[in-house]
Order: sequence, then structure tokens, then C-alpha cells
Amino acid sequence: MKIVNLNFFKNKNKSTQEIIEGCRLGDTSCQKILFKRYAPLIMTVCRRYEHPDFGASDLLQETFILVFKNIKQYDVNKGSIEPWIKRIAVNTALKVIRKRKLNFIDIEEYNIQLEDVTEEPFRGGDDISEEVILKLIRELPDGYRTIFNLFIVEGMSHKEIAEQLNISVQTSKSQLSKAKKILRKKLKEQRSTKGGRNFKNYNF
Amino acid sequence: MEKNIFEHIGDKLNQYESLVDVEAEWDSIVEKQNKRKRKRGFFWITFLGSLLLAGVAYLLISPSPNPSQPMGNTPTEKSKAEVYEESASPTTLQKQQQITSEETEKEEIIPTFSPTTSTSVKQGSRSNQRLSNSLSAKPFLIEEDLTLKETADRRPSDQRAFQTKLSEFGPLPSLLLPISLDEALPEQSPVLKTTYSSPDLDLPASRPSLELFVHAGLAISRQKLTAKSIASEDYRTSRADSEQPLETYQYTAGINYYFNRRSYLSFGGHYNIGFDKIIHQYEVPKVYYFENVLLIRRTHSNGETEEVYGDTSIVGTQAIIDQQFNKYTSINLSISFGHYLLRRSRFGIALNGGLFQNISFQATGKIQSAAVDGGALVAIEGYKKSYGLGLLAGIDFDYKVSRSIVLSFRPSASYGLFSATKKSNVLNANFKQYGLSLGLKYRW
Repeated sequence: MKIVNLNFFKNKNKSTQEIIEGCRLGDTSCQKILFKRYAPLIMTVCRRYEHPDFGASDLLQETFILVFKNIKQYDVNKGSIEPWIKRIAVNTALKVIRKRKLNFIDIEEYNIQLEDVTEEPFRGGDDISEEVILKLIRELPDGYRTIFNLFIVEGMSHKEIAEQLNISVQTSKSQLSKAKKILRKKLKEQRSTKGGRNFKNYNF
Repeated sequence: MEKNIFEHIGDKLNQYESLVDVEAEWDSIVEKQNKRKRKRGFFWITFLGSLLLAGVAYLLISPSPNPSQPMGNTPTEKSKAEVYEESASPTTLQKQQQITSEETEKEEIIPTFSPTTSTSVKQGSRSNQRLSNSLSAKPFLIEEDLTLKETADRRPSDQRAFQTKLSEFGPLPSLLLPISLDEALPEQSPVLKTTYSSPDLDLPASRPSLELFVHAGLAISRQKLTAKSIASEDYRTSRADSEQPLETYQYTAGINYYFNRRSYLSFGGHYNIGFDKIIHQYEVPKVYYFENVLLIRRTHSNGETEEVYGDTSIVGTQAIIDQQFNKYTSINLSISFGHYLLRRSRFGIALNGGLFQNISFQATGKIQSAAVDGGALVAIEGYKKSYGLGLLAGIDFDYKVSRSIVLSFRPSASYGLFSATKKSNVLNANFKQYGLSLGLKYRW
């Protein structure tokens, strides 16, 4: 596996604009440079949503195909292209999820009470491995994982999530609550079985 | 403000960059983009081709506003139009034009003629009398001028030829209408009695006609498949590299649209089905487990085989005989142009050639066996689908057995131009297929 050189550009802003312009004109070399630059970041997004039927690699490829196809719609004046590409990746993942028609259980149907959990503030060093986090997130059920990603990582509100997934706000809240509960439990298990020093500064 | 664990997780994941095999992913992206371009190209070709077909069909099928269309003729025998032309002298024509021109200002209705059994000429008005006199004075047909074989039998096309010629003189007075062919012509011309029983292929078709055809036959295609290719784990092997020719059964049905008596446009659907078997023997120290077993063929060490339905495991592991059975199915939709080089009363030879759009399916059943006794065999079903375009050409040897039915023998050749997907099989891109078929044509 190759490790991408993150210091590819010296004058990053100017080069990125030229690259985007080249992509607009259909220049394959510019497209490749853009891909090389943002593929690692977008791959992380894809790995959070991946499903065995539609892996992270396929999601990454579909994302960039859409990026190259629609790059003319990107407005340079609105800021960095990175959030735009991320948004395409998330939308592509949601499209796959909608096709699979996940069964999000409506909280109102089952009269499930939300747990009132006070989140403990995080203290201590930055010692939770990203790979561990990704692994734990992938182990979540599809519905929980989706809502967790959208709320926690993407920063969407429950109302926006409900609109995207065609569910109720209460269902979104319920699924998130359950996802957090499961993740908390898994992080505890990680601490107890694989060396708790990574999580010693955190109270579960 | 201090963050909780999940906010911290969110921040970390938003900045984390995973390891990526950039070159491999980029190659996949390029391949996908090219594949979609090919599919788009195939779609547009099919769409535009269909539009073209629809346009051509509409132009050919829609009724012509001018009835005086030229008709196709044999090189050796004259059509009625030509005979009429030769028979009617310029003087007669001028006289008739003079007669009718006086009436043209009043009436614009053009007569229609229909066959009746009566042969007498109606006596009507003066203009009618003039017309009938002019017709009897110089008949449109002189018997000794006829070069047609069968003079007693005529088809309705003769009436229309007469009508065509008559309409050239301009509109006739309304008092002459309606007037039948037999009524208009003198009794001295019994040759024009319309019995319409001729089965003659040679008589010109005065209007476009349709012909339904069905063919069945055998075709052979050549590709190459080496034995080592089936030793791989992917048992759904394409037959693209077979060393053995594949025999397929061909069934064709379609419609020929004749826009003159020799040339036609043909729309056909073709169904091809073929089977083959590839045998490869090798040593494998392994046990295989499979699901969905359909058929088990047990091969004993003495070479005898038996077929049973069984379970999914192999016991023996000494010598393995791989037998791969493939079933190929192909559906082609074709459009082609045909032209009769030779057309006699009973025989005809036509050349045709055109394009076809192909959808192919390859179903693979792999049967694997152990050479020792008691070894169980398993089967795997595979399936591939591909699309493509190709060229086809053929020669029709026709023999007319009755008025509307023709027996047809057709040698043909097909060539696959390209495949819209990379999965090519013997019935798709770059294949060559030669066939012989026998069929029937029905014309109405």
C-alpha cells in the first residue's frame, strides 16, 4: 500500500485552483492529482459508512466519479473543495443506504424511553486510535452507524437526518442514543481487554 | 468548553486520513468511467438506430400520394405499364387528351376502377361514348404485343396499371364514374379479364407488400479456449479462447417489407442456442464444498459415468477431471436490406445484409469429479450477460411452392463488431459464425 505524501503542494491554494480548473476542462492529470490529494480523507468517510455489499473502495470510486462529473457546479468562491467532496461522499453513501431500505425502528411505535445520559467531559491526551474508532463504528448495526456518523461526525441535526433518511426525529434520537450506548460499552471492553492505558483518562 | 468522548471521536475522524492504494483506486475509476462511456455510446447507437428504423419504416409504409409510381420489372419481360406505353400511339393519346381536356374544368373527381365480370362497355353520355370509342379504336393492349407468359390470368395490379395510365390523361367527367375495368375495355380484349389466379412471381407488385418468414438451422462459430483456463478458481470461464468450434441452433423469424418487387427491408429476431463441453484432467490435493448442487455426474476410475442428484462434498482427491458444460444463448434483433438478383416464376435468389443488436447469455455448469470410486461430483452454475453489435449477411435461395408460400434455403454469416461490456463470449465481440437454415416465407 502506498502512503500518500501530504505535503504535495508547496503553494497549496494556487495549485488547488489550477487543478480544479483543469478538472473542469476534463484534464485527466488534474483529476488524478485531485484524487491523490483528497482520496485518503474521503476514504475515511467511506469506511465509516461501508457495507459488505458496497465496500469503502466502491464508495470512494463512485464519489470521485461524481466529483469529476459535477465539478463545474462547484463554486470556488464558497471555500475549500474538501467539504464539497465530503458532502458528495456522504450523499453517495446515503443513496446506497436508501436503496437498501434500512429498517429504522420508530421509537413511537415501540414506546422506547430514551436514556438520559449525561456525557462526561473528555479529559486527557489524544490517545484513542482512529483505526479502533473506525472498527468499532463499523461493528454497529447499519441504522445506528448511519445516524451516529451523520450526527456526530457530519454534524447534522436530527431534523436534517430525519429528512435525509425519511424517518422521524424521535427515531433519529433513539438510534443515536443506542449507538452511543453500544459504542461506550465497546470502548470499555477495549480498555479492559487490550490495554486500558489508551482510555485511562476517560470516564465511561 | 470541554468536549465529551463522541465529540472528540467526531473531530478525530474528520481529520483522519486513511491509507489508500491510490494507483489501484485510480485505475478502477478510469475503468468505470470508460465502461460508462461505452454503455452510453451503445445506448445512443441503439436509440438513434431505432429512430432511423422507425423513420425508414414510416416512409416506406405510409401511403404514397402519387399513384403513378414506377414498378419494378424483370429484364426479360415487360410490365403492363410498358406494354401500355408501347401500345398506345402518340396520336391516340393526344386525341384522348383533347377529348378529356374539355371536361376537366367541370369535374375533378378521378375515377376508381374495380374488377367485375361484365365485359360490356356502358353506353352513356356523348363524352362517355367518345371515351369508349377511343378505347375500342385503339385498345391499350394488343394481344400480339404481349410478351407475358400467361395471358389469361391477371392480377389486380393490371387494373391499377390501367388506372395509372388513365389518370395521366387527367380527370374524367363525373358521368363516367364509376366505371369498371371490364366495362371500359372492349370485348375484343379478353386478355384483360381479371381472374387473378396467377401465382407468378414475376408480375410486378403495384404496391408495397409484406412477407413473413421463419427459419431454423445450424451455425458454427470458431473461438479458442485452452484447457488451463478452467483450472483456475473462476469456473465461469469465457469460451473466448476455445479451440473447438461451437455449434449453435438458430431460429429466426421476421418480416420482409417489399418496396418494389426486388428490394426489401428485413426486420428479424434471431435466437441462437449452443452447448459445449470442455474436459480437463489434473491432480488436486483438495476438498471442495459447494452449495446449490443441481446435478452430480460420478466418474469412476474405469471411465464409466453415472448421473445422480447428490450433496456437496468431494471425498476423493487423487485425480480430478474437470468437465465444464456451457450453454450459450443469444438473441439478435436485426435490420437488413435485401435484393433479388434473380427472380423467376418459381425460383429466386436474393442477397441480404445488415446490422444486428445482440444480447448474449452464457450459463456455465461446472462438474468436477474425483477419479477414485465413491468420489462425489458437484456442479456450479455461473451466468454472464453481454451486449453487442454485429454484421450479418446471407443469400436466400427461394422456391415457390404455392401462391403465397415460398420455401427458402439460406446460408449466412455473422460477425460481432464490438461488445458493450468486457465480458465477451463466443456469441459476442469478434466472433465469426457461419450458418445454414431452411425456412418458409409467406407473402400477403
